[in-house]
Amino acid sequence: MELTIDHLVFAYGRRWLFEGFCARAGAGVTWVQGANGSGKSTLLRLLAGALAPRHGSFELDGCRYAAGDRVAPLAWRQQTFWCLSDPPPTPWLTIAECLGFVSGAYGGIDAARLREQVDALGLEAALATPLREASLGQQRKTLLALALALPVKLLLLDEPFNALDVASARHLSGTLAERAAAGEQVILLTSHVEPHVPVRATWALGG
Amino acid sequence: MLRELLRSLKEALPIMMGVSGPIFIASFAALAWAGVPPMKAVTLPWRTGLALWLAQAMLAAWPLWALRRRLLPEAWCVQLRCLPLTARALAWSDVAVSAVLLAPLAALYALSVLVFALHRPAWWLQALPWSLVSLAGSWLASCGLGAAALAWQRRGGLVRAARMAPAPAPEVLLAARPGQFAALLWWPAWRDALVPGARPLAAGVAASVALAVAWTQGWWPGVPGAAWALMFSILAIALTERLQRAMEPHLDALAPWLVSLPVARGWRWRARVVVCLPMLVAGAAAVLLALATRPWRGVPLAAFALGLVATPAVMTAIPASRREAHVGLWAVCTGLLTAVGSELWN
Repeated sequence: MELTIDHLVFAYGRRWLFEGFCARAGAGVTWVQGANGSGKSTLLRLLAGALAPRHGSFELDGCRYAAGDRVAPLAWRQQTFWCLSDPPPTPWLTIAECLGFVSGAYGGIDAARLREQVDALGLEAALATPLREASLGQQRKTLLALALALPVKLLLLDEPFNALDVASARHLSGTLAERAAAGEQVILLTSHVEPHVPVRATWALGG
Repeated sequence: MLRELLRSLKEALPIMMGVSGPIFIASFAALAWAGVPPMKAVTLPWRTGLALWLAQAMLAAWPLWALRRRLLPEAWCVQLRCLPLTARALAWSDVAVSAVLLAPLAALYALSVLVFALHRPAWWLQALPWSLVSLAGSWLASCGLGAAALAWQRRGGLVRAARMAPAPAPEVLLAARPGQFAALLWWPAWRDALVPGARPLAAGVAASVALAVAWTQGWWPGVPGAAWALMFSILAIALTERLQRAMEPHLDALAPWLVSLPVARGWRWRARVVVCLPMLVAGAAAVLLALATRPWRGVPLAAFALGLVATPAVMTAIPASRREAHVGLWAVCTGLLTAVGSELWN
């Protein structure tokens, strides 16, 4: 399994972030690093389909998403999960409803696996809490529970260790290490500090 | 340039006075009616009088209920709980805010008393001084109700009530798979993440239907059909406009996340249908009432129905941020619907 980024071109207005960026990432954790504003989160947004590339294409396991597609193809979105660095943009939903909505969209999710992640991240008691009343850590854990439970091939984790308590950060590191060893997922992880997970490759942006 | 402007204003002053003078005097006379219900209440049998008095007090306090979330945003309420303020101080602050907001109403009541004192109608003279006591009491009751609305908001009554309800088991909570409509459109409206929410919109639709009923049943023959048609059209279009202005930023905030999820792409269309819905429901009620109560007149009725469907469809096709286009559409559609609607009764 391999993610290929081919000649990616993207700019915010006239500020060019990627000018023909090419990269490959195999199964396991790839650490995307760089200074603030170097394009780490933007790269994840582009791969998720939240931003449209001006030129270039992405390919993962035979599925291709190229500039010019109006939105990312459904097949691409079905095998990708973007764990954004902001809280989920649905503050009116409870944590359980947010988990249910997103996992319902992906379909075929193993309920036991989701429950396992909810328990491991300490979200069980907060399931009925509306996201707008949940702490920042609980909001982040909601997305992380989905990230760790969904059977996707490409996992995009934007600053996943931010706002996590020690136990949850340890669980996240352990689970990512297991996934990396299993070789079933391509995991792109942005982080300002070195993540405590076995890293297969490092992409330095803005260098 | 300023001198030229002042000169042109000076030249236009007589015309402006001539045009706006009668309107101003008519408005002034209408304002005097504001204090009538509480004063009249003391001359009526006690049950009717009390109902009228309470209705006026509650109606006057309603703006405070409607504005409570703007006057006391959730974040402020949280901060207030942390400050070393006594319950009495907070209660007085609610009363003070309520009184300040209802001060224009007090001025209106005073104006009403002044006008009645000048005209001295017989019923009013006979009811003195209790009519004045009733009027002052009505204002105080409105203040009290307004303060209660603010206290309700400050204490987060709804939030506490929701927390007090026992939460279902985790298995039950995690088994739910909310659909797109519920998660993205219905719950934000019902839980007041969209402003206006579902309840104010339902009240708006109910008011539109009430106008349609009053129009078609001819409850007040003194009010011409065109005036009913105008009020109905303005309210129905206002509901569409207001909902569209709330829905667009709501969707813009969701869009980057939703396009990354494997959800069907119909959510923008569904949102557009939701925006059109209040006007379509009110319009359907008006058309059905017209069919039930008036002789069959196919062409004007079909034109009216078409206008009721086309207006929200056209409005939602143009982004709400294009204010000039929307104001223009509002004026044109209101004019057309009023003209066609009043034609039904000619």
